[in-house]
Amino acid sequence: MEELAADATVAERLPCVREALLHGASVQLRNMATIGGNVLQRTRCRYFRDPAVAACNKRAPGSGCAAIHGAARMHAILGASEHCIALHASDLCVALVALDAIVHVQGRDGERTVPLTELYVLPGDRPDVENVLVHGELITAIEVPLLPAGARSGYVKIRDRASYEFALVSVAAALVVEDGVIVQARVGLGGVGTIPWRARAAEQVLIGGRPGRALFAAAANAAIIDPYTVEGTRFKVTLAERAIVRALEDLVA
Amino acid sequence: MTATSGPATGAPVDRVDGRLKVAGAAPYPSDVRYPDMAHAAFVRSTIAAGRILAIEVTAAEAVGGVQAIITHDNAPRLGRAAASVLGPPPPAPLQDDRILHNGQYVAVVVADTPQQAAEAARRVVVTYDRAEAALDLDDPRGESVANPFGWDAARGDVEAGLADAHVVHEAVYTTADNTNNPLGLFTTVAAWQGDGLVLHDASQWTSNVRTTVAAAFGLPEPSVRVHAPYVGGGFGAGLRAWPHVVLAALAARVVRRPVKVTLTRPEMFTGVGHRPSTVQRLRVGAKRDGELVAIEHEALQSVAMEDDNLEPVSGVAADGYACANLSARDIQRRLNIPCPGSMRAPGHAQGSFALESALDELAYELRIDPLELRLRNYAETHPQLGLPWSSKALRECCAVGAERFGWTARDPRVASMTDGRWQVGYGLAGVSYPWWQVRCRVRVTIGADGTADVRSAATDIGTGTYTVMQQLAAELLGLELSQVRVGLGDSDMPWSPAAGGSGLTGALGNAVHLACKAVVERLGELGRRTGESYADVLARRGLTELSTDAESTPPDPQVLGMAPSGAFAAKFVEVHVDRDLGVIRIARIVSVVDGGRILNEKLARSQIVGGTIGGIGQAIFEETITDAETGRIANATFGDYLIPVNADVPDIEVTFVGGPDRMTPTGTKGIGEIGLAGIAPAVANAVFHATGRRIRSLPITIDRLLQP
Repeated sequence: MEELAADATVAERLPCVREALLHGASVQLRNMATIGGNVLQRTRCRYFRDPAVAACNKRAPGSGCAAIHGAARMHAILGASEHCIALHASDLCVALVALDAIVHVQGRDGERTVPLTELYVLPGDRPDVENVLVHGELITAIEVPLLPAGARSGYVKIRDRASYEFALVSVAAALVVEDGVIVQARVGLGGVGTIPWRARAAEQVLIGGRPGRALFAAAANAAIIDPYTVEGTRFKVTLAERAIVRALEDLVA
Repeated sequence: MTATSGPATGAPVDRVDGRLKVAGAAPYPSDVRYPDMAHAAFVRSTIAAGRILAIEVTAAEAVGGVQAIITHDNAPRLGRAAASVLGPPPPAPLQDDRILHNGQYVAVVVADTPQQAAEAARRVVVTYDRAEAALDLDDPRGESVANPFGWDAARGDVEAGLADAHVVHEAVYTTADNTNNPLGLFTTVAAWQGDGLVLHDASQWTSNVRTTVAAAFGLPEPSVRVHAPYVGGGFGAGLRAWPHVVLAALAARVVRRPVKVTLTRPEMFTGVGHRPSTVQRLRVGAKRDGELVAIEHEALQSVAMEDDNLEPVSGVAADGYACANLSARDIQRRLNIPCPGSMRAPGHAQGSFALESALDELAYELRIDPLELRLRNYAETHPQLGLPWSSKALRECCAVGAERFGWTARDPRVASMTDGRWQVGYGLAGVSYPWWQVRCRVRVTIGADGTADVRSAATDIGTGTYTVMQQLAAELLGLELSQVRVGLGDSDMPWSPAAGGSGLTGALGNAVHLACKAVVERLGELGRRTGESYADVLARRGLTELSTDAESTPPDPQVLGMAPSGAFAAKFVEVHVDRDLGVIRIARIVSVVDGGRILNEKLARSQIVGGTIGGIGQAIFEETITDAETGRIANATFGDYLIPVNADVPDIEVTFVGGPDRMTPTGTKGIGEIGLAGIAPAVANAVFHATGRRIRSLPITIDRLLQP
């Protein structure tokens, strides 16, 4: 992760990737961590990770979900349901789904490519199935298409601590503005999704519009569709909307 | 400003154990190894209340290297020591099939390696008959204990005072469970040697571990020796001999080998105490000019079903301010939770949040500067005892703090100060920390070479006790620092109280004072000539050493005619709150402390800085979360339980004011806890000033600020 964060092209053309990496882990962790490992990281859900908890559909399909009645603050509101609210906690992948990254996979019978947005499987009623990889497949590369020259991108991460914490909400955003009109927009969300979340509805609101707080608020409003919230995660709807506005405002400031 | 006296004390001497620690050469309990040492791991209850139906160990026994699996079925009956000054020791573990909290030890697995023990512990299958657990502080099923410490305070007539008030502020304040989380995972190594037992333990109180463990096994106390020369932090968690200590000794006896047990981080959340949550109701009445005429402070806190915890919360209201009419009451509610225990500034940390928040609210209602309100109700004498303080420089704390912080630059209107997207707020709190002292013994020995050894069972848990006692003894004996050695952390040395309650420096320091004076006197009796070296005196008298024991005892306020003073402080905090996102950042903190005579300003400052960081944790991060259904701690890791990281810690300015306390010859006052006290309310008050949002519940987090 540190190599990618320090890469000159990334710094120049993909600031949102660089910022997601820098906010995603301390330098010690970045030196150790791999990109593939980050993409396929398991959820931090303490109910999933603690074997003393019996009810976990991700660990033991059909056993239920203890998190929805538990301490669910670091949990998902998008792609979530009564079956599972476990969060995909990556920062990097939020930027990568926004950028339409492509995953190269080597299997026993050859290579294939999968868009990162299609690598992850929404939990539905089978949260134990997390991605489309099959036994024997290995991620060999991740291809990140560069944004057009002149694009602006950034990553906003909201958390309690100033450092060393997973996101409560994060936003990877990119805009291409021509003649005062947005011609291209990318919005990825972290801290809210069971998978790294691409907010395409927000992008549709933005494209063709003129940058400004009203447009950004409308996009933010469109981004959070049918959230599944529990007591501990209700605040994330508001926080995510405000974080989207902040991320977009930062791009045009 | 700093109080100094004499050549050796006061000087900002580097800690004498610093080099050892930096080099990794200081022997912590976790570094102890015996040649044939076995390792223990625990199986913990996954329910909060009920009974054990069966414990299936076949799969666990099949793991290679397993030596023994001890449960309530095969554990011997153990005794329980009498209460100490902190209350009774924890009930002996593995004595029956009842489950009283989630995380309770239900089996100990002993194996050749830690990995084998942990693996076998995972394979132990326990079936339970689960009962309904009482887990919520509001749960009326939990037994309530009124006035649990006998320390409830009252004076005057609160109702009459409230009727007389122009303004009455009434509110409920709540604080979360916090967990001490010293970095050093608690380790006990137990080795039986004949009928005797040697323990190496991460303890703040070796003498107490000896008493607890001796009673558990029916041994005479001298048969148990407890070593704790270095401890990787405690913050109160090491004040009691928790069940893992007794179980390490039990395991060692069963397998007839030395046994080591190191708690896991999740076990540190259930096995060594925590700061209990509170619900506090305050009614404060004042005249229009700010004169307090009534304070009623009722504090409800959680405690375990069958264990106890000394946690005076409402006492903060009794001692803090001049107010004729007061009622301060504590109530404990018994719940199916791991037993709470002392955590830095126990009780005071929660009580101060409520009281100092309430005073801030009152100040806004009365349109009086919050600092001015406190000064108008300054307690010139101890408000409960009616006696003059042995020392009190709180007024100076306020004045110096206000100046260094720039309090007058504060715009009194809420939500009036900004810095870009950040709302800026100033807040403060006053702190009157209670005095605490327990008798303490020490031995001072002059060797044939004229150098001195100071020995006590007391512990240095990272605070600097080795260093300041070396400074103090050197000064009193007229020796160079390098001519004094301090030996601590051994229960075979003279009896000492705990490193806790901001009480050890006073207790041990005064004992050192007495012993050194006695040694010097004895040398005089031996005919020491002016300027003659101690070595020469001993040689001339044919002595190989000269040794004196001394004991300091806490003074009686009534006999002295004054109220023993703890430390005082004023805390000033600037916070920044993101106006849209609710993100809180602490921008700076100024602490001005009256700690009596400061023996070593560098170490004293470290104590205040460390306490302040703990206060930041209490204010905006720390919350031990209990699952409502299972009683399981839901965030028992450092990834999930948030403590401040470096990036969260701003400039912390520390200034000491005041001078030696007149009650004792050393003139010190404990400062281990005053650093933390008052930070949380000062933060809450600053958040209100910044945003107009009054958060009466700790910790103050983004979600609480975003709530409409």
